[in-house]
Amino acid sequence: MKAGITIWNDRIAPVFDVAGSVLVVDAADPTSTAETRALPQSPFAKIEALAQSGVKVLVCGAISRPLLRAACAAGLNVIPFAAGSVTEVIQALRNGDIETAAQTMPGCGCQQRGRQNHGTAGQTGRGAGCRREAHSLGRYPPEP
Amino acid sequence: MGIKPLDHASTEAILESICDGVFTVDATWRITSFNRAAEEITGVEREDAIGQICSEVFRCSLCESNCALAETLQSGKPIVQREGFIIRADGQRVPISISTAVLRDAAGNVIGGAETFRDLSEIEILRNTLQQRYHIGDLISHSSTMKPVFDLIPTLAASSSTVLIEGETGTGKELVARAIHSSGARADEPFVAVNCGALPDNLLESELFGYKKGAFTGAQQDKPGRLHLAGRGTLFLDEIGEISALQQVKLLRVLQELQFEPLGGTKPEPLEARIIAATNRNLADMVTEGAFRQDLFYRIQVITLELPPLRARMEDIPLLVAHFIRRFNQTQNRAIQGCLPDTMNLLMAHDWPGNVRELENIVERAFVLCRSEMIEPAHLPATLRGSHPLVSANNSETGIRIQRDLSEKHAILAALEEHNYNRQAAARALGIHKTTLYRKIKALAIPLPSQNGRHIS
Repeated sequence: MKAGITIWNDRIAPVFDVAGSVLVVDAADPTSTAETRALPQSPFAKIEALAQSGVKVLVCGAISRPLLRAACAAGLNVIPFAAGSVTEVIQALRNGDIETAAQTMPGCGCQQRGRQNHGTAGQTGRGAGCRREAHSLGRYPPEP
Repeated sequence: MGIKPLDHASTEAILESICDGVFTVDATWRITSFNRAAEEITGVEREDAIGQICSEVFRCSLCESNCALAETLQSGKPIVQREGFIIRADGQRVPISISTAVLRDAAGNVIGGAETFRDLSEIEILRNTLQQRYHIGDLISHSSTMKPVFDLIPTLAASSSTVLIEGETGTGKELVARAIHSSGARADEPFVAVNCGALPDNLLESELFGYKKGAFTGAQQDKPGRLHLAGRGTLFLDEIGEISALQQVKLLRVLQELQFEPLGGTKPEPLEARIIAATNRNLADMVTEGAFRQDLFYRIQVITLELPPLRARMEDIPLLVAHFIRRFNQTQNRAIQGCLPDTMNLLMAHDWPGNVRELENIVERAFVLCRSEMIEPAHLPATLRGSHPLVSANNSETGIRIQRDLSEKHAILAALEEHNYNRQAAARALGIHKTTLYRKIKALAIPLPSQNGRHIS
């Protein structure tokens, strides 16, 4: 399973909307090497490029709501508002516990989420919450 | 007597009381102070922010490639009001302006940097209001009924899913399709539009699929179809509800197999274009009636966008009129300033069955007739001048009465539509007697369908 981590200075890039590069790793294969790729400038083109390159999981920093919706619509499983060193994130991806192990950005943790009425207890959703967005997009009739 | 410098507590109190966000960082980019306004603007509490890397707290569009604080610390020069945006934890973008300065200790040694930032959200709203937006491509509106459309366009632009745009004729379906195309990654690829309703069946087939030399009599050379010409761009199929049963099958096969074959061809070509379809008909009803294939319907309506008619967004009329006047002034080298109030009242009183296209044509017509700086009621078609029973072109009746009548008319129409034209139910919903409703329907010349809705609700 391919995962993309938007990076800057060996950490997760602070803002996906303007991120310049992504590290693509095969989370299932610990022997594989990670590959750094440049991202297009246009925010929506970044998502298209990631989806087209076969990335299934996107680990990124802050991401604006329209882009998060677009990423979910493009079929990406987004771990938004993540922080920390790239090495730690790759390790968490390979351990299969990225959703729980990755640090969240300050002010985006569970306590803050609760206060902002994001999700409910037990949910692992962060920030604006990809799953919630994906659910709201589900109102469009799916293919039969 | 010399002035005593402020002590530390006073300086802190001042920082807490100002409206601008202020934070300071040390030499390792970790936050050392964070004032109350910074908490409010970023949504991050002080205790969460202190000691953290500033870019992960501030989450600003400038952090990665255009950090004002980094520049200031390198050059020693302050930066004033550089604009960008931050992203709050709820995904909201907040426009801000940033100013920076070097932070020194009492001995003058550099100990870090200070950044002040101001929330520009209200200024941004004012700017938008002044520029009368929402505005994507040639699509323009400031109606709340259009907001969902404008909100959805960026999302649709980022995906490759087939989109069905529904709306009455003249509501701007092609503009929306173009906006989706030009806001996404396919913007540099072709946008190819086909009006399915304007072409006879066999011509539509050769237009869509193209043909090879010798495919039929008169096919003297290869002709690429629109599916080919659209390449990796967008193919816009307007009036999709008008295509024949045979073409429906052929189109369905293309959408299912994601490939197509020109007439007389032997090798299929892959379909790389994104399909956006549009219709002014109710395709779901057509499916029920057996006039449109259900499988094709589900293929094309992966996502449906409904465009409201102009009568549901009457507040857009002044904006659209100004937009068309500006455009015709440019293309026709004229200098018309606007409409007289009476002209605008007449435009507001019309029902606009032809929607935005009708309005555009009426403004264009007025440009031909108008020799002054302002469009007068006389420059409008007679049908418009007589469309409102309480307004005449030469009547300088106060606009308040006309606006009241318009409001009543729209409220009554909305109530009638909501209750399937059942007058009794509509009157009840409006809180008026049925007789009053009848009187107002007559006075305001509200059109009614032949059915009265009693048998429905």
